[in-house]
Amino acid sequence: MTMNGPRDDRLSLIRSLPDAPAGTAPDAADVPPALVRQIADEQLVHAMLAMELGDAPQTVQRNIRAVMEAIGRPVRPFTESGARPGVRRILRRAALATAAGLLLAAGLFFLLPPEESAQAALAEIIAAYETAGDRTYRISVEDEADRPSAPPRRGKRWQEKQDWQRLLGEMSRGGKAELDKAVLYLRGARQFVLIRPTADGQRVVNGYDGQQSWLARPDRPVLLSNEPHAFRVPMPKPMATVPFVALGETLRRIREEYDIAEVVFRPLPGAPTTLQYVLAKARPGDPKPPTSIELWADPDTGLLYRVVFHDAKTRGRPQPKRITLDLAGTDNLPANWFTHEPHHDASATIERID
Amino acid sequence: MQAPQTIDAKDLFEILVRENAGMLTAYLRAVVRNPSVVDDLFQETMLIAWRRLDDYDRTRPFGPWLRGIAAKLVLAHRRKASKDMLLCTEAVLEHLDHRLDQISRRPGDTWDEKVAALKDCLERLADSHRTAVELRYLRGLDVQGIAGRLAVSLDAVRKRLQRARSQLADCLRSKHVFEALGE
Repeated sequence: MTMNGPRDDRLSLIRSLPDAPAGTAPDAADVPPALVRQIADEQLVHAMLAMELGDAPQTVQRNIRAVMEAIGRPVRPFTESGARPGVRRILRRAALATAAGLLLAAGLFFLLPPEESAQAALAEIIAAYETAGDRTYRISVEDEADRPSAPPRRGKRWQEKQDWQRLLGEMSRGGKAELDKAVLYLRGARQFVLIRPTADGQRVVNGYDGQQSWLARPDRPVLLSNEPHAFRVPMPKPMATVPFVALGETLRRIREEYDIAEVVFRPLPGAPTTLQYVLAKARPGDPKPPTSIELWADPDTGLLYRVVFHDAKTRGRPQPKRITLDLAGTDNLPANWFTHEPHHDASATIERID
Repeated sequence: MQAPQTIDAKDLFEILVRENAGMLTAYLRAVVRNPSVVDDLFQETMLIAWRRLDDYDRTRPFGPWLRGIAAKLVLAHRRKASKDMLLCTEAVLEHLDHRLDQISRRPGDTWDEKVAALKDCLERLADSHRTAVELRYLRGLDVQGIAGRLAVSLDAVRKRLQRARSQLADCLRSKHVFEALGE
């Protein structure tokens, strides 16, 4: 230990380099090969963390754009060049499998299997979702047209609903928070803020800043929890599995539990380009709502412009609802927007529930 | 009836760039400390790949060829500015090349899907280590900021982060994301 002291210090310094300010050059002399490999693994983990948790995904997109512009192929919606974005993944697989042939034979024609195209389109949207920057969505809730009210139930589900409503009442004294006219802010794949209006003109805000979740209500203590899902939007059990604030999970659920019924290009009023439209339908025999989900995404970036849930069951209302999330903006939000502090008075009492 | 689609070399190159962007960024970030240098090296690597596309042995995967270009650029940059670097020797680069080759063969379409096990490993970290990691990478705090937030010493923060990375590497080995290399 004594003899190895200086070397141990040097190794410790090398292993802490990812956290050190620039200016310290590593000295790799005499580091045993096994330890070199271990340190290399730790440095790769550092890179993976930067990409998983940090801003690397946005940087990657910027770098791709810079490269493509430098070679004279500005990144643009694939519709302009005739290639369909939804099939890029298929093309990519093909390109990797037979790169030689394809690169030499640019101009080959492809006929694209629709089912693969659909899955590839969804995969593209999911990948884009996970690397997206700040987004703001407005939520609207409407009755589904031409659907009769379901008869009142008094079974287990009815009881669950009553229990849930009671819990909601306890959570939002002074005015029930509504999803209709709510605003959802997203950053990357995990951080969110949801602002819901209440009947008495106030608002209930909950969110997750990547480290803790929080709930701020009028005249009530601000609640904090380390559990990311502690204050998700309160919904009856059947809908709790489709969390609006976690669209990434919704997208994955679509891929796993829904059939892709349609993938086409379709204009959406207000959108700057023709969008890729994906219609996913619940599989026959699967009673879980919503029965269908529409996605409208930018064909180049995968940015979701609109998500529509059909036949969604919201709390305390048997009538099926159509819930629509419309993109309202992609401006950068303040750095601390996803923490609780900007959303309540500085004098508010803070309570941790775990 | 869907019309046939055509693609040209630039379309295909964009496909290859997008396919390999995550991997190349990870490779560079694993040896270069300064993010703006990572950006420069990323773009330079890709542009050299575009110019030398005729030299690419098309019977072999694109990723290792790209890393070969990047390795030369990284070593050249190290000679000029070693203070921008993490531990970066030919042995380190060779090891990273093997690791990324392993990851590229994992199931999944995207980089995120291929390294999805990292999320599970993060959840297995002790709370104190996970908090340090989240403050460092998610919040972007430096060691001093983390120390202030957690009311611990700078050394304690460095040690927690280093141990967290070491434990995450162990976890990834146990999940076969990092396979034994038979060294």
